[in-house]
Amino acid sequence: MISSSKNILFIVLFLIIFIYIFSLPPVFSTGDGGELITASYGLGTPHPSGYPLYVQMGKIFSFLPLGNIGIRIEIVSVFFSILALFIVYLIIFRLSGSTREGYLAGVASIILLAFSYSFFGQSIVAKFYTLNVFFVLLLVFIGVYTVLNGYDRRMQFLASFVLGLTLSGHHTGFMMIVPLFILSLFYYREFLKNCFLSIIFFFAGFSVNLYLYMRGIKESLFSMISVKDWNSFVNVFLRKSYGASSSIETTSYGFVDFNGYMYAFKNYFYLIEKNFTLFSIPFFILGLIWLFKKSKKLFAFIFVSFFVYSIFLAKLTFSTPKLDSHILYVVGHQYFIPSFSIYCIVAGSGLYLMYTIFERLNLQLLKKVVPVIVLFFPLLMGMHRLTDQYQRWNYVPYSYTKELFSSLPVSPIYMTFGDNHAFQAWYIKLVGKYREDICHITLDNYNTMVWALQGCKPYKLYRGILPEFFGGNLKDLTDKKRFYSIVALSEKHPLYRVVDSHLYFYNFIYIARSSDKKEFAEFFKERIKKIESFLNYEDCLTHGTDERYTNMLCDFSGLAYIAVAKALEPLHGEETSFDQTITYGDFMAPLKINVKIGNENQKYIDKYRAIRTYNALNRFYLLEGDR
Amino acid sequence: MKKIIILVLLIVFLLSMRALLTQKSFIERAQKTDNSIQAIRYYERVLLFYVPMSPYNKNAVNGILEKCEYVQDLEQKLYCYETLRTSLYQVRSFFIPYEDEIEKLNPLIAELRAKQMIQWKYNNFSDKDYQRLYNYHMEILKYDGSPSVFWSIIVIFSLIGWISSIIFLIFKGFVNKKYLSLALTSYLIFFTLWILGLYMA
Repeated sequence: MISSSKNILFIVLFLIIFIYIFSLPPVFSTGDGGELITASYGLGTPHPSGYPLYVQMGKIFSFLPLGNIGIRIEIVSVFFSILALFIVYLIIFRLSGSTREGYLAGVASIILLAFSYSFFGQSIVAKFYTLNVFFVLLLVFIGVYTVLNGYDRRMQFLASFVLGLTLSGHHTGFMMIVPLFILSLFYYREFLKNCFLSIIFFFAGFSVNLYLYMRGIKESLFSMISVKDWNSFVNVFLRKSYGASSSIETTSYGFVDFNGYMYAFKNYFYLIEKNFTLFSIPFFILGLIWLFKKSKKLFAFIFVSFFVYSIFLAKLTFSTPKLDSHILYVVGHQYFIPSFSIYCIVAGSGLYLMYTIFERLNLQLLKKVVPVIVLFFPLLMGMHRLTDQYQRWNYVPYSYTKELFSSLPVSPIYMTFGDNHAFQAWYIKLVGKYREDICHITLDNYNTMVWALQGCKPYKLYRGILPEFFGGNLKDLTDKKRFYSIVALSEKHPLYRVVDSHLYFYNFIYIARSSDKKEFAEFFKERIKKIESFLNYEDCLTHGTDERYTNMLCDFSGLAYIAVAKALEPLHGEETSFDQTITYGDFMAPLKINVKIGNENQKYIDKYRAIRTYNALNRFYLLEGDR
Repeated sequence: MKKIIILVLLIVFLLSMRALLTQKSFIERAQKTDNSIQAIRYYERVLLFYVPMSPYNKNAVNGILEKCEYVQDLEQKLYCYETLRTSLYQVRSFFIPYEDEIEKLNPLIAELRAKQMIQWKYNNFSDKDYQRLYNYHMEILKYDGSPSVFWSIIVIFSLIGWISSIIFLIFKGFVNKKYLSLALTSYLIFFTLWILGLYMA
């Protein structure tokens, strides 16, 4: 019976891989994408906790002699996503006792998961979340296997080893220790006899983190923070630089302010509704009932696993009274993929229960029709993904940064603040080796002048072409009109007292306050007319995704259209005011520009408006509807 | 293991399909447009979807070089040469396709950068600074901080090796002493190689 329909699983997986591969961003994704690709290619160290296993997986794929380095490393996500989906299927199939109904329920569950908004989204970008979910599901599988087949010390060792490995990826993977420990303590005390060897296997897995030290003591192509000794290792590994968001601080939030659990539940429920629709909830409840009836151990293990990755994790990271697009994107869209996978395992079990009820009641018609509906309903979600997450033509992060670089004169300083601009610039400069004459510096905090110089190494090469910068004479550099930045200055910024930030292209130019304003106006007009040809409005009108940072980049790119319109403004014309005020956390840099509009510059204003409309920030799928 | 290999092959096959379709789409667009910068951008996208032995690769390289000859403005010329160079670097794997082109591009780019620094009227450079600036830029262009290909391969294969040895040890090592020593030996060898590779790469 099963073998006759075995092809369904193969066809479904093929379809998923096909859609994922065709949905990958063509060069790199926004957010951490540029940084993780650069670190993987250069065997470097990305932001804490360093993600050494992901980086090395990325390096393996970077050798594929096909496409570009960026898309090759994005494939890591597809690869582990498919393995994770297969484990979801396998767990449901094994739970059902390897029956045909279990097989169909397993296939339906992976379709449901594969085309859910967040799982799909994480499967096509260069990020470590699918590697993490693969480990979590492997540990869930070990737990389920133990309940179904009895205690086996090999499974204990494997679980210990995998738990060690999770600490070289995203640390949330390690939270699986809670359900595994509870299962072992209550039902399999034999595990205590093998604890010593387990610890050894755990440290064997953990030893992947030695990568951080070995690469830290070398001058590698890219390193966000170098690990050179025990203290720096602890800082990176425990993400201490994130302060209140460091690993230990965050975990402690689970045990204070219990009212927060109410928001955690509410917010998490919202994500379930957006990712799987309310249609899935009855199946989830049925699944819980079936698991409870089948085995209390099984129920306890899966329920605790689900709780840890859903409500508990939401309490730590996602329990704000009001959700906004930032938290939905940065937390809601990323952290809960393991819980969604477990949710689908339970929903799949519910589906299996429904099939068995049909079988028992001899409802032949329903038995035939319902599986077809259940298989095809989640496929409809796939159609949605092709309109909101299809990033095949999303060249925005790549072209935006490349055009920005192209607009700069030779040997400038280019300063960024915030992840998006910096990570993209690192890829373009360090992997792409484009415009290596640019010395790219990044600001760690908006209101300081503490720079990181990953994009300007080795220093000895840049000293010759930028003696002003290395000699500390920034004034000279601004007089030479070679200091550019993504940062508009507000009065909170230390540079605000000495320089003005003027609109340039996609960015700003810093000019000394004492400089001649008329001379600058002439420079601006002349310069903008010259670089106008690098403008590329096409990508921001065709990227076909609601991806949050892509929309933000395009929204930000509006600056360039206003700059060109300003440079080309007629002597007389209707004056329009554009408010491009930029906020940086608590700071606000006001930017109001008046432009006279005439035939000479009308088309740039039209393009500006078209891009703003296409990239409206409320397009984001998780933001739609009431919360 | 067989399933993993099938998965990788399937991914490679589908990526090749996507790459070829993308190359075809952009080469047609590049040939149609009158805008030089746009054409360069499209040719660049053809190269970014490099497929070994695809005829579109060479067409795109030639297409960009043709445009570089055509554009007169120094900044656009620099953009053009730099675009070709970055496209080739971004598709490198064990080797850099059309590496000889990069060798030819470096002096051209250094020359354009040096000239532009002199022409940038806000700098205080004159023609006598040309050689010095040219040398600085050549040095930057020649520098490559990428890890060694050989040692990188050692790193990734030895990592897979020692992780596999541990899994083998867990499943077979406790059953048979012969397997135990085999697993431990291979673990030690792969782990040592991994550490060495990380340092050398």
